[in-house]
Amino acid sequence: MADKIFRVNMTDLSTSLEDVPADWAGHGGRGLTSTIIAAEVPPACHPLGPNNKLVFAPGLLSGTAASNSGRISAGAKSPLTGTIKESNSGGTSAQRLAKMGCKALIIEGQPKDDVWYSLSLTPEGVTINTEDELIGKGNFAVVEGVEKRCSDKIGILSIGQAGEMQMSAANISVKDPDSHVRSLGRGGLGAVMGSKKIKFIALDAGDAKVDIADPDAFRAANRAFTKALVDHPVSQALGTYGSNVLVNIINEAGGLPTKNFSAGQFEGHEQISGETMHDIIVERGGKPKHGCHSGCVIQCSQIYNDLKGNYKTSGMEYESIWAMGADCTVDNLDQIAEMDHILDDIGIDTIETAVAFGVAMEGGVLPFGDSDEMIRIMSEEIAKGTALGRIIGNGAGSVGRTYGVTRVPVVKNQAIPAYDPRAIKGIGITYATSTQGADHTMGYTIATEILGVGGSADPLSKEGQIELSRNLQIATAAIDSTGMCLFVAFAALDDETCLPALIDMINARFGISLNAADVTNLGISILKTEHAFNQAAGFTNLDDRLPEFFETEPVPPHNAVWDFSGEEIDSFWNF
Amino acid sequence: MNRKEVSHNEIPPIPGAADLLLTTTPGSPGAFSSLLQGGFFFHTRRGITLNEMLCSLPGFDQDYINGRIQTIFIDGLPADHLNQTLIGTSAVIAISAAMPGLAGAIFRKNGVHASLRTSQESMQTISRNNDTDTPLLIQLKLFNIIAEEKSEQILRTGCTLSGSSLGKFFNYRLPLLTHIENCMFNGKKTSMEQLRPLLQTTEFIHLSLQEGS
Ligand code: SF4
Repeated sequence: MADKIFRVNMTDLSTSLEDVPADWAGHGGRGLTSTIIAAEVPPACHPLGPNNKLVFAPGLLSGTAASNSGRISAGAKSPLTGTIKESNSGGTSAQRLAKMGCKALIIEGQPKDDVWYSLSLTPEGVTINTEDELIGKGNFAVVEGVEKRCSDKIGILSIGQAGEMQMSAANISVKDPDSHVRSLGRGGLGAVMGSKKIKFIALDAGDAKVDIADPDAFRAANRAFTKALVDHPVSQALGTYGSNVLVNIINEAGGLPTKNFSAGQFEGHEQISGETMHDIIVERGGKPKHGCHSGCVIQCSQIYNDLKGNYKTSGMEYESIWAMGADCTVDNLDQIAEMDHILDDIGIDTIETAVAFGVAMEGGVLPFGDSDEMIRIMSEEIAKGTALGRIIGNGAGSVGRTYGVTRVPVVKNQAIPAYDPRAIKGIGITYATSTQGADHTMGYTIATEILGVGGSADPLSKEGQIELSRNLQIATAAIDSTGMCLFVAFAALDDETCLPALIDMINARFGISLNAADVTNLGISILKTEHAFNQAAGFTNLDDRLPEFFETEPVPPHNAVWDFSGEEIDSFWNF
Repeated sequence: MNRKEVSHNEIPPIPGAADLLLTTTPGSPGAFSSLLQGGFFFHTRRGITLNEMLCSLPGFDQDYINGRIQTIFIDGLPADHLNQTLIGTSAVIAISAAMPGLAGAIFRKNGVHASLRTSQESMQTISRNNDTDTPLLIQLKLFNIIAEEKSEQILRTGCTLSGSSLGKFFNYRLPLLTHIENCMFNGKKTSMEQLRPLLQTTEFIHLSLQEGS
């Protein structure tokens, strides 16, 4: 069965199945969402208006047995940044979409009346239903309610109250194999889904399976790929401590933004470290190692139980723990887990929201370290849409503007995550130049040498640093376009069998003959496509800048400042 | 010593450190391994290399040091070379396995992404006094897999911790107290309730763990 584009028009409530255009066929994940957004969305449109489109796409290998391939991408014009946006997540939806032959789901238009809907996807197409019962509910109630109505085998994409209220930090939540949720976070795609008046999307693939053109070659390549992933020492660290293993390291480097980016080390870092979290999880009978989707062999996720040993939350990542922890000076993992759970339920981004709290603390709205008040504001203000709740729910920039705070760590209005760019300059270049606002995942480490984008300038010169950062972003865009979990990148960096095995799997799945150069070119073209969209939306080189305070306020303990000139940053796009 | 031989050296206490012997329930010393993320203290000679210092620790051998230790910080600055000489009168050293993310790659020793570090010239470094004969005080922090693999042996052998850091550890890991069967502080049997306030006022404590039967 050939893959199809599933299209839904929410203005006239029509649906269609379309053939996949030839030039979209080689894309998956971010490559496909960004290609579709660039082709079909007017760059100057209002992100919450009828002309924006919300696109979901599985990875190229989703639905197959390929390790770590079950990531789903969502794309749109972001209401937080105004730029093009792609976000990806684990959960069960990518596999369901791929198995039902959905190359991409495109949702366009906007209902004229004040009625809420849900979508139901099967291999036969899309049905649009009106929805009353679950409106106003959080994600956990939605998952429970939809499973009761349908089956616990289906995939579910949903929004919580934040998405319904179109807050700029709202997520789209993705049901995971345990009927908890993962998040398509950053950039406010939940608000776009809310603007289309869709509360949830149910995905029922039935018994459908993905076709593999050359099953033997696929199996052999998957074996090599999986071995490279499992054997890599970074995978071992991720599987034991999750990405939160980074707290101690980044704190030691003086790059752990603390108290709204006023320091680079947090006194309470040991209380929130990956090491401590691991021990607490084990002590309470949780799971320190857990996959966000079936088929993940690294398993950086975890199940965190409360003091009584009952489930509290899962999949807490370093960046979320940093944001609710060091940035707000909260040194209690149980309080952080409680907040993580609430934010998952409301369906709002943990990084953006917690950085917004840090700015609010700076502005005197609540004291630094007051996690009880943070929890109250999340449950009683954000979830209910009070004025304060909406100010915070619209992100760190919104809080800064409202309370006259000048130390507002955002780029293109998106909160800077867990690595201080004064102490770790290479990440600062990514924050400044990313096509999607400050985002640490845009320049993740990956096999620049294997992809032939190792760079030629003196690596210690600023020119060399910009070149390396550019190449990392190209390589990352390439991996993102396969739709694989980005954590495969570490093995791909060090193990020369890993990336070729990934390419072999794609070739065996589709009966094509991609090579590394094709993958690199894909990365270049995705980055250029996204940049061109942003320029057409009105962004200029002056938007590729870090906030002024990074240049003027040295960050202790090393007292470094950000010292890249605008001209140096602008050279990023000379390719 | 044969370079591959596992060292069983003891780590000498910091002079003046109080003595603490904790007897744990069977099988539980490993539960204390993250204690050493806060570091333990010992004196060594100035001019020793990083490699020599690590080789002198209980349970560390050259293969382990070369293979497992992929991220090293000295006074908060990433280090690339094990033959780096340790100078001055004190140093805070942190060691870790290979770490994820771009930041992890940037800080990895001799990593290809090291050029993306903030240059050390633009950072304020600790001024070093190399003129005296005083020994070098090391605070060594063991992170992640290194802590999991090596802390237990070090804790059984005995190592010196700061009293406040041990006190803080027991505050946020209260359930661990149920794993402590017996506590001897400076040779006297002491309850954990009595011990905890003492920790806050004791600069250094030489802690040894032993497993009960
Ligand atoms: S490594 Fe982590 S993020 Fe990646 S697929 Fe596995 S659990 Fe999900």
